[in-house]
Amino acid sequence: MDIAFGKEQEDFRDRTRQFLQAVLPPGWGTSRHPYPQTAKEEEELGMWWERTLWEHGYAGLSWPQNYGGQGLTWLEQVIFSEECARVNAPVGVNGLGKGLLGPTLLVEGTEAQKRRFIPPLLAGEEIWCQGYSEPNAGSDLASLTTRAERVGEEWVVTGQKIWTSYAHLADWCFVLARTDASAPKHRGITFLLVPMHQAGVKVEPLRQLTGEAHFNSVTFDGARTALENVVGQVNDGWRVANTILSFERGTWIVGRHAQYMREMDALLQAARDLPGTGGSAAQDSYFRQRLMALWSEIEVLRFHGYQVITQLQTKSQLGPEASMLKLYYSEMHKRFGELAMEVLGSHMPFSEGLESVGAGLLHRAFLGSRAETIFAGTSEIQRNVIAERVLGLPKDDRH
Amino acid sequence: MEFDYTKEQYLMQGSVSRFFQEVAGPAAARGCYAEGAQFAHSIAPRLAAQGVLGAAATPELGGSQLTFLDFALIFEAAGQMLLPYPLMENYVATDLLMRFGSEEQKAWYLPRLAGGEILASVAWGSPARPWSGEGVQALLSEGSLRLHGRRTFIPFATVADVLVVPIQSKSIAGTLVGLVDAHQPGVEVMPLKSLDGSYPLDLVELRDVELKPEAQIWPGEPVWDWACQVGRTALALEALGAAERIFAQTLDYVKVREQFGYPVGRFQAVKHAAADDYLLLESARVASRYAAWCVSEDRPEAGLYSALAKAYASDMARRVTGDAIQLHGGTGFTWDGDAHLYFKRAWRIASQLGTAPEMRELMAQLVIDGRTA
Repeated sequence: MDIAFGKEQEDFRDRTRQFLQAVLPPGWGTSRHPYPQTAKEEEELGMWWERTLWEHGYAGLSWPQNYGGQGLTWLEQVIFSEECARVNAPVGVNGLGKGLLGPTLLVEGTEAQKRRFIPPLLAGEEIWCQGYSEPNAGSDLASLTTRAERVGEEWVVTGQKIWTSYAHLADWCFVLARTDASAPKHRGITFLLVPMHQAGVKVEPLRQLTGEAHFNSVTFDGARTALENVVGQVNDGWRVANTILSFERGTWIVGRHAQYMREMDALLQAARDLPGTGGSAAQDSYFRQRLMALWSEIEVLRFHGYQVITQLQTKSQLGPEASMLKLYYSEMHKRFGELAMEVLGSHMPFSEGLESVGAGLLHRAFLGSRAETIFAGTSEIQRNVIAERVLGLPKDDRH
Repeated sequence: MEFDYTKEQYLMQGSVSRFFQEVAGPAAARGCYAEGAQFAHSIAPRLAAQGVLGAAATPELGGSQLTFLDFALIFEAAGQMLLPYPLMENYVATDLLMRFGSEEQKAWYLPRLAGGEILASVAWGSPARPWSGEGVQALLSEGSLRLHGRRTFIPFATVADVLVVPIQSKSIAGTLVGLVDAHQPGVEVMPLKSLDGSYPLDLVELRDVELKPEAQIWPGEPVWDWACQVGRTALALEALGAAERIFAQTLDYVKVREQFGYPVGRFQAVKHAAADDYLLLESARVASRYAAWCVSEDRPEAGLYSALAKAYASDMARRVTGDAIQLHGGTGFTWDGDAHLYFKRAWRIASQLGTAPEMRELMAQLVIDGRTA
């Protein structure tokens, strides 16, 4: 057993720290340079971050150099996410492109598609959104009804997509659309790349319970895309969409530990400052117990991360264990958010301004975590996946 | 980055596991419930022959110089097979002597511990403050140390030959650890009626017991703290083993037990309970693995992470073994079903060497209050 990265990786970590310190505004995250306050500020920051990563050679760390990537390994990707989480670096606006579309194209795309789409994706010149969920196709995604028909040398797409993050900024959307209505539901779906800037695409913002509007409803009404913009084979889109999910999920989760520990440190400080029953909340045995239970769970996420890294080195792929990690971090973070609000006590209702504690960080965790047990497969779906694919319990008739 | 045991360590676990299936397992555990602590004596020679006793000692002293990491998977296997023998106490006594004992102490005790000739236990509990080193005082009388007091929750004490006892001494101002001969005059062992009959715990009263210089280890505090860290990590690993074994049996059961025309494992209520248990199990696995690494490498944070692992794994094991009873339905409530043996073992482990709330308070002192370990 050896819980350390190699020298090469540690050098990379040092370089990344220097880079982050150099590019982030002085006093980043403090009162001297507060985090963005409005959605517009946040989006501008996200765009700036995409370009900055590209200019400094931090975009597509593990992607091949001939498409604009850095040609490093996923280990550097993991270290980079960790370091970004540690300093609460901005969140780019092309996460779906980098997290899902790019890796899919690298595996399933044609040479022409890779050359056409990956470099502008990494440069932050083309922003991507994901057209999967529909109003009536959530957990049962394969029952989606958006359809694409071939008309001459084009696909014509009609239907509604929902929960589409960053669609209002996006230049392209990767869409799952039904191309064979007579086939069984998993078999008649095609993975299409559709340009957003055209008359047949309408984007309407959906306001989240946080008050922000990162996601949208996207209506395709006769939207068009060229015939060659199919990834994989026609009617094979379900398999294409599932190609890379688990691997990406694994590497991306590892960095989360640092984010959660940063939030925990803020919570511990708040607990020291706020009253409990007799003395501070940090002296209150009820809170001490619960804080240490959550602190333990966050540390356990770090250990899971070591396990993932170890597995990826030898297996180069995570299986359905990725469902376990997703279930673990999302449910844990939700409990963390609730504990944080309990610790804040009478200050709980104030996420900003006078009487607010922790500069809104804890409130963001509290509200934001409610999405985590829903997106990318609800906790209920993850439990089904674990039970059937990891534990071998009998499938029911859902499929 | 290699956060895993080595292939050799897994191979050794495999062979020890097969061996434990022969000498231990649910049938043997029931035997220990019936016979009492004496059962441990009946399997000691075979444990010694297999090389799992005295394992931390050097080869010339009868051991195989295994590190804690080498032995971690064996603790897990012991949990899986409900081993009715104080293996953890044997390991602690051996490694304690290797680290802190004099040459004479090592030469006398280690070959006998490794050979299974003497059975060692550790006097873990204090009647007043359960997991403190309090309870036994040493008085200096005519140049010799005389012990007075009691310790409790001592595994297999009724059949033990040597007891590792933390001792405080007001008269000479200090703490020490004593290797108390259990057959000496003044040592009275009182059996307690243990819920986990496969791992009985007893109480020991010491009345004016002489502790010769060759049975003393000074100073006691670091030795005792170290022993608690090792013990907690070993218990976390045993809890993991116990829970994963009965969990596997439970999965087998819900795959074949049919109701409403289907295996009950097809229903989401059962699936989701199983998935949640699996998540806890795998989390306790990495938590105990990390603690094992800290302990084995003598990391300064071993105290913190052994407490974390102990709390996390025992919370997990109580839940998972309880769910095993539930998911077995009526058979889960029978004596002949295995689930209760694991359930009782999990709860006993959770109670030993500090409960989860005590462990979290210990962690809070380090993490929240910033005390140094």
